[in-house]
Amino acid sequence: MSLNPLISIFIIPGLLFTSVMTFLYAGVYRKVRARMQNRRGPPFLQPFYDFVKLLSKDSVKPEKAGALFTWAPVIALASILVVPMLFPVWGLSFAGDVIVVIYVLNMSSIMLAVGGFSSASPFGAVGGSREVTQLFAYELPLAISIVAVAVRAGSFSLAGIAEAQEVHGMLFYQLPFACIAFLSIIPAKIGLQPFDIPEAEQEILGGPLVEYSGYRLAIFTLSNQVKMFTVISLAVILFFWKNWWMFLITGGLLWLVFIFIKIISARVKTEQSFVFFWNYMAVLAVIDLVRVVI
Amino acid sequence: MDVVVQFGPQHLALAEPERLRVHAEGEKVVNVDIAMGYNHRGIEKLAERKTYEQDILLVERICGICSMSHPVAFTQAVEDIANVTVPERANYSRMIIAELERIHSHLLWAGIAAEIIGIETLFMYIWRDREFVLDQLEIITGNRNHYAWNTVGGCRKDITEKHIPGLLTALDVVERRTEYYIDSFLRNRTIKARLVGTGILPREDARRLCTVGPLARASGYAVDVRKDDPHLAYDKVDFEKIVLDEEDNMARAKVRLLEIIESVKIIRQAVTALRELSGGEIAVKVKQIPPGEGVGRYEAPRGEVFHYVRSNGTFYPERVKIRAPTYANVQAVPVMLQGDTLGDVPITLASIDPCFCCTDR
Amino acid sequence: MVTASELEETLRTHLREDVLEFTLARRNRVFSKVRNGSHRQAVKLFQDMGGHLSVITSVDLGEELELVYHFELHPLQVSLKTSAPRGNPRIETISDIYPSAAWYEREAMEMMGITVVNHPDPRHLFLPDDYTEYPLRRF
Repeated sequence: MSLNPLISIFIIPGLLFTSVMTFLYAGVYRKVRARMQNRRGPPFLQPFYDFVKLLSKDSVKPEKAGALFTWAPVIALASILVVPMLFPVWGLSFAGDVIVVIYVLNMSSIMLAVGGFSSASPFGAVGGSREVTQLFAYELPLAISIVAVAVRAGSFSLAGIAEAQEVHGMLFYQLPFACIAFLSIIPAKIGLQPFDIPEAEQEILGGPLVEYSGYRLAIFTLSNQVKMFTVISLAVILFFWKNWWMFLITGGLLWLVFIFIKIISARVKTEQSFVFFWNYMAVLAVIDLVRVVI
Repeated sequence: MDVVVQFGPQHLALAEPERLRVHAEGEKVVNVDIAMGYNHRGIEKLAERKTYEQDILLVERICGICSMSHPVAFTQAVEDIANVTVPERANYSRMIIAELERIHSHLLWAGIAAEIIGIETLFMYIWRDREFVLDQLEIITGNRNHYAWNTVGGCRKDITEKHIPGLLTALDVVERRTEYYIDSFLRNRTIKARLVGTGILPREDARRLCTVGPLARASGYAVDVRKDDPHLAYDKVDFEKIVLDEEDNMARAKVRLLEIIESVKIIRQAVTALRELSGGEIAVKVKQIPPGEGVGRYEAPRGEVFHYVRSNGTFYPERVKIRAPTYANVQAVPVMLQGDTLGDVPITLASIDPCFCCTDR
Repeated sequence: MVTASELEETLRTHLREDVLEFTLARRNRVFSKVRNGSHRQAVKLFQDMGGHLSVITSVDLGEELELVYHFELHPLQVSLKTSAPRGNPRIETISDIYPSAAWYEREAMEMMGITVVNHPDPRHLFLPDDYTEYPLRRF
């Protein structure tokens, strides 16, 4: 079943669907976190209100900030919005390639770092360098686990991987270690505890975002929230795919698990996250890759 | 890459204005320069212009959290000059309020420490349970802070039988919850990853820099005014001086949380003693302060509060010197930060439980 | 453990007539005054006894400016005073003996205008850098 490409870009699984899911995820995040912390929490639509409010506010640009200060959030949002369009939900819109997905996902992280560096603030610079370091830390297990998935499914396209799972059952059962490695990356990718090192509010005041305000901040925040939905969905497609409505349910359950992990853990340090990803998660991913190749 | 990162005067991890200029190589801290004085209110000078009774209320307002410690230290110094002995009952009731304050201050610290290392759930929980203590303080003294409990020669109010059942219930809750928090701090792997082995203050440095309070005790330097120079009724109750020798941030967290348990013990004994003393005087009248000088020392939640009062026979003191615990401890921060990473700066600074408005006065 | 009489004897044998006053007050409080210059020797003695420096107070006596060094010598609380004339208030530092004295002396310098000789870091601590008056002095 193939729909008009315009529909898949703008409605499903493109912009409209993604925006709705994004604000849903962000609302669940705020509300569930508050309830678990013995608070009442903001209204469910608060992330949406925040977005609209930020758009209406002045955006101050530091005097020494470069041109990338403005463009970094835009590129980050644009690149992260590409990813959902490649999802095999509701018709296989594009033959989305996992390698492309990885690169486009990284683009948003790199843009966060670029935004931090170009904001001419020491906190932004430290946050940017932490973001890049973080990228180096989790990129290795991420790449290995995705390669293991692709080899196992016999296809590098998201649609092919999903199709293979429809036939042979979820890849989670066949590649449990790679799945764990991939899931462990998610908090680092979307900046949740225990790996929210680049944004650490109490240490570097929000890192790359410290100088952002107004519409620039709104765009950056939105791109980070889209990233939450996108990365979780990617995990579901790679490891837990059954059909499109199970995709939504599994995604939601996974999201609750990550919120739970976030609220019970402290923020680790850069070198500790390096050790975690390279010494443990990369090894787990390699085990599954070796098993698949042999 | 050599960067200078400025923490403060306004910073999320610091509740109070104070500037920390951290010279870092990449993420590694090389040197720290501390600038104080953003909260200087000239209280020492102001105290020379007020009578002794007014000064008690003035020094109470030096700090919002340890607002029992400064008046107790000040009144002790003045009572030494006037050579009066405070009634037993006043000593016990002062001690109960002081220990309640220690509990709430230590819980406050534990919450802030949890928030700084990024685990905000623990912060919410701890601060919720701190309310039990604040409620009791409000019921007994009429205020959550700034109790206006002391006067030269005793107390202004009394803890009566009707306060005691609620107080004991709250203590049970706090004790149970604190044991749970000790367990959380000791067993949560991410908390351990942040606290163990960071912000190390070697024992020799703790002694050399004359640190006080939980910071010194966590480094194995056993100073505790409650034991060393017994005041109030601390020599009549049974409690332990918590001394650990792990020297890191985790040890400081442990010392504070374990002290909450000890404080609960002290309050229970003091309540029993207070019941036996029923009907005693709560204050003696002090008419005139003769010329002389006195030293008041009190173990505040953060360490030793030191007051030196010199009187000249008039209604106004000649000189009041106030040394808050942070003033002694903050000089150890550069030592503690040596070799730490930039991410450790807020938690290491917070681990001394800084109170800059006490320090600046 | 050191008693007040032992302490007095030690001070008098080492400092001789430089010990101007020595009194024992309530609750083990000891107040002693020594001549300016010999306070360093007394502080060194206290350090050998395992003393803990609490704080340094500066007092305006009118003709003279006084520094009071507060030590804890378990179980005693010793306040060691030394003074210098108001016109030329020079008192030597003890921050090489007790590093934590550096900040207390900085406070005494900016608040009372006492010149602490050989101080390693004579910047202002609490007051702004361009503040030139001495707020705790009496006029």
